Amino acid sequence: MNPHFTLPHLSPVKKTVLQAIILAVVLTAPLLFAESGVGPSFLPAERKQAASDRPTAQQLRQLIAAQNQGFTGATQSAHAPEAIAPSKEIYASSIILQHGDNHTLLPPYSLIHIPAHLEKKITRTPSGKYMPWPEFYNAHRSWLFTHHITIQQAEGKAPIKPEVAHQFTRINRLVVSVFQNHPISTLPKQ
Amino acid sequence: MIHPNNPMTLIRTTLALLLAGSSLTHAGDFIRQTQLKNGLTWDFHPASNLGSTWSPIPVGTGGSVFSLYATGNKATPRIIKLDESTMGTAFPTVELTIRSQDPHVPARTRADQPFSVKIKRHGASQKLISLRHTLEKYNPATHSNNAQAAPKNVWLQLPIKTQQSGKFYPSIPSPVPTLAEGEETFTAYATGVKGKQLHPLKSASVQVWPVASVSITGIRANATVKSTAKLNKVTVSCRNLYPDSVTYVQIYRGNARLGTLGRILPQTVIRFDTKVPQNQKIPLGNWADTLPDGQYTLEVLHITPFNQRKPERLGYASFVIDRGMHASGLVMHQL
Repeated sequence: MNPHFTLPHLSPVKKTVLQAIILAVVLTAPLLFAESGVGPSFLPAERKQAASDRPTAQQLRQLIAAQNQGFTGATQSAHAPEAIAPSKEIYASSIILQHGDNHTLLPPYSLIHIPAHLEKKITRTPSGKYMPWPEFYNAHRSWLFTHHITIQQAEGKAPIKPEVAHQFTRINRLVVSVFQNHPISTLPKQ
Repeated sequence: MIHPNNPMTLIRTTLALLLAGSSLTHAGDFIRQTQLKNGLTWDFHPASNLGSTWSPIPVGTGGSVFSLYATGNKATPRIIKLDESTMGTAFPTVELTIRSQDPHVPARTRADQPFSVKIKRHGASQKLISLRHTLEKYNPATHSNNAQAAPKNVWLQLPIKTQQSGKFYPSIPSPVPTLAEGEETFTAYATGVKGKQLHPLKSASVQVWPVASVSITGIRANATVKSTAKLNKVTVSCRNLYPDSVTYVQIYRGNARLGTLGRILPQTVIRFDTKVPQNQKIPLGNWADTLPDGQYTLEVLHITPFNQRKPERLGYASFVIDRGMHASGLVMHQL
């Protein structure tokens, strides 16, 4: 008797059927083990007695009227005590690049080189679907390029070297300033 | 992490404050950091949804605004802002949390169930915190934002305390308060360096769902029926079953008595674990065929995270079966 366990030999047809079953289970696992469902197996283990009826609208109004709500000592008003700092809408405060049915957003002042023939890629009226910058960049490396800068250069306190800036003209692509691989503004000289 | 007691050093901020605060983050989301002093902007596109990381850009004087953006769905091809927080030495650091009897994240509650809002401040700043309480109605057909209804805001000026919490009942405007549904958001604000304008520090939201209801049709209250065929045509239609709920129908002898443990009709048990309330017709099948003559009550019970998960009775119907056939002796039937 062979002491070593070995898998039974399966014909190619049976192997294919087994593989199909495994694949079906894996693909439908989210449904098979979903939390929603029907049948007594979904009843809680401990059965409790019903303690209340569904509240009516009137009962709820009375309940809320009788409650002491909110923060102790807080004063309430319909108006803000001071003006609220304006929140910039992201599309209005970003550089928008458009290609076909997709657009992406970049920080303001992050385009540090714009060849004339690529100005058409910049838009104020985006259309189609937003595509995250990493995905957009990977899809359009033929006309996009990134240049790593320091925080001082981003803040406009240190310039990008002229010889580096000259190289951009030879690259002939839109150049986006990045910091640690993520797009960043390059502010004008401070 | 934030070092509120050392204003002379560069303050670094974990971006997980925003990433972890929203369970909706997924691939394509990013955080925009904007320096209030000079407008310097950096877009951080995380490679994964989990974990935390330091922002390499110091907050600096004047503070920074961190805004979390997420990609929309097919109906929303643009990106949407999920959260925003302002940090810096000029601002108090706050934690803002909402808790409900439903432990689900993001927080949710029911129109008749309270929730608590807790605000905790760190650091030496003695600035007043203003809290904006925003009430946003949902479209009941889609259980999502209703573009037709403008949100309503109420402002609360809080006393300066390290920690405080308040109990709130949902206050989404609705002609029928048990059917209110929407989102309540609390946003903490404080003034900045120049002290003139309010900047958002932190926000937290809770979804409010309506109370479930049931309609039992095909039987009049306390009716006497001679044939169970009519009872088998009774329909039970439920609306707004809570996203985390078990609903079932039980039957027992006699008049309606809340708290009775009757016989559960196994085919009627329905469990939901969803994001929005559900409407459901509950199939009864030929439930009445085996019932002997007598008085019965049919009850629809609904278990949710509220009321310590004790069932609530959504509705009931009592009736009498009298087929007109009577035995000469006493026959006992166990239900």
